[in-house]
Amino acid sequence: MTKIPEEHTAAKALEESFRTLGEQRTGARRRRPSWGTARIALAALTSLFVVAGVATGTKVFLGDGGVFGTEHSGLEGLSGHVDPAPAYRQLARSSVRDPVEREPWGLRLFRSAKGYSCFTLGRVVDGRLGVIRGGQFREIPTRAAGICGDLEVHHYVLAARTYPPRTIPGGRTLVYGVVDRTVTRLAILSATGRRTPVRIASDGTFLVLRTGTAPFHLAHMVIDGSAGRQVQLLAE
Amino acid sequence: MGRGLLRLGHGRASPGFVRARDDPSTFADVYVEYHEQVLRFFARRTLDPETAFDLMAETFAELFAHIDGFRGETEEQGRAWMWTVARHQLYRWRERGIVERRSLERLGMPIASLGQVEYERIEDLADLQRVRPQLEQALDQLGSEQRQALQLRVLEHREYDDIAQQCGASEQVVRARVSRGLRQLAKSLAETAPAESEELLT
Repeated sequence: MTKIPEEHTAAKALEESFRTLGEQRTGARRRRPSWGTARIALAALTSLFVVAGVATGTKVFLGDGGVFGTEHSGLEGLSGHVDPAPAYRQLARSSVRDPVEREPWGLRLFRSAKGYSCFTLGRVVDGRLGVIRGGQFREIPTRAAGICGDLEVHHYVLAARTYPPRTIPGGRTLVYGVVDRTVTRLAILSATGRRTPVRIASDGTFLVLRTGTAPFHLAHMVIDGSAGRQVQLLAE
Repeated sequence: MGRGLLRLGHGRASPGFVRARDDPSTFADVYVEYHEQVLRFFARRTLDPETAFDLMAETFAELFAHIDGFRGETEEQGRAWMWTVARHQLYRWRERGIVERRSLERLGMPIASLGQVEYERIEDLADLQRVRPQLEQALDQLGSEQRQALQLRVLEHREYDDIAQQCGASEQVVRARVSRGLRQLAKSLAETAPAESEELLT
């Protein structure tokens, strides 16, 4: 087998990505429990899936050249895809009010065992992150998965989630993530050219909420700083 | 023992799609083995290094994303699957004019920018001399700046920095002119010779 020359950096980077992803997938298969174990785990995790059900209709999206985190759902967690043993988990400093409901939206930050920067979106009540189901708050377990990316390499990790009107009246779309110190400013540039600054909290997190399910149609996230670029937001 | 081991067939045993299905950590070997062939396939049809690279990346991302569902038992079947995916990518690019990145997105894989060495290597893979007669014909349909850039780069084999100096533009601008011109040419070539030739696949 011929090796890819080192100076072919983009091709080499893809090889590295496939190697990492392949090893993760092989590792996940090895860790996958037997069906008997899985059934017990499923029963034990039923409540978690009710919580993780919030991911239904979720869209983590990517524009041209953007770096978005990889989402891990609770179900994938069962087969071992979730990075285990996070070094810490804390509520992020970004939060935003919901236009209708009482509970604000927030993020929980954590660093995965592999060193990635990760975050989980939810509703904040008494300093805890959770989801609202049938008017009741349910805390998202600290072992729940999140969206992860390598901040040291890409300087920003973005994600978005759309909640259809059947889950929240009017629907909601959130664009959120975390940036490192090389990113100085963030803004959303609409299709009509309107630029809306996005506040970056002191911990690097940001969170933007809009009602509806396609409020960012043809919009871009403008990222200023040494890793500056524009990333198209594909909210569809 | 994993499926595919000690299996007799026409295909090679390793590296291979069957092995990658059983052990996804070996998929990178499949990529290393075939990426250049796939890149050449796209380069010759898009005539644009960046588009060719993106299409190649999405092709392998799609293969990786669906490797569990690969039902073949030989390497030949794996290669046939690979070319089917590649042709499909090309078809979508021609239809929509953009490179889809659905599988790359799903896997969370960013694509690095092409460096100069890599960019020029893909131009070599495109073998632009092969389309020289059509290129000369197509040049008349281009604007003067694009025509000059393409003429100097493809017909006279001049370096980008040299062309930039002559055109009084930055190297980046010259690359963009060449790239746009080649894309236009690729479209007209696709219209005049839409049939895919299997021999060009390898």
